[in-house]
Amino acid sequence: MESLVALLAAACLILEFLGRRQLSGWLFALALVLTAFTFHLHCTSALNLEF
Amino acid sequence: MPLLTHGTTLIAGGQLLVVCVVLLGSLSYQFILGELPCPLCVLQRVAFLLACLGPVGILRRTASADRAIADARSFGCTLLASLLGFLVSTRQILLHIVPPDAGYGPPVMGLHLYTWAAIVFLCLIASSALGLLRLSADTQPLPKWVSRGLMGLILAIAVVIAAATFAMEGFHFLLPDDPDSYQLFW
Repeated sequence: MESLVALLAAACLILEFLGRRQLSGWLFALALVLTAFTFHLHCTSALNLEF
Repeated sequence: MPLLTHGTTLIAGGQLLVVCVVLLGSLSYQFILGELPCPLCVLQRVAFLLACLGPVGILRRTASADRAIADARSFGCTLLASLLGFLVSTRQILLHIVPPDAGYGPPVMGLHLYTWAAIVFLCLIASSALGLLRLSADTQPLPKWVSRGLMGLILAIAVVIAAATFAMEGFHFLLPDDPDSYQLFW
């Protein structure tokens, strides 16, 4: 998931630079949602501390 | 005052420069000191990249009648991505706040990288709000070499981060909590 969101973020920056605004906007939204989802996964399982 | 006529482009350029410095610092930790980033660090890097979409759009844009509206949307993107990044940084600070936890990775000037990230995300939020206050249709562009240089640098950093993250994660679903190798190769 992390590599997917990093790839999406890089792609959306490149598309914005190339002037493909609409596609870049959609990729931004997708990357933002997937980043939030990945964060949620880590919060709920992977990084829970045991006191 | 000639700087004031630049308005939003100057703010966008400053945001891009600060994010470039932060991400270059984080990459130097990874490639020079050999400190691999944890999953939350990677998510903060991604949030920084997403926050750069606004500044890149503002610097790339040419003068037009609806420039102010488009610039406002760009700052909105930066605000959303910075808020998400700030949440991730705060989560990581709270994970390591209980003594005797020494924190993740070596500190820089007394603060860990995720604490610096939280501060920079707050600065991005504040500067975007300032940019929204200074919206104008006749904003002057920055010199071409400055804007092209900053955009080229952030694009190069984005490609390196995407490649490095893929190398660390390989074909696994998630990064391990404490990555110690590049799983694509080992």
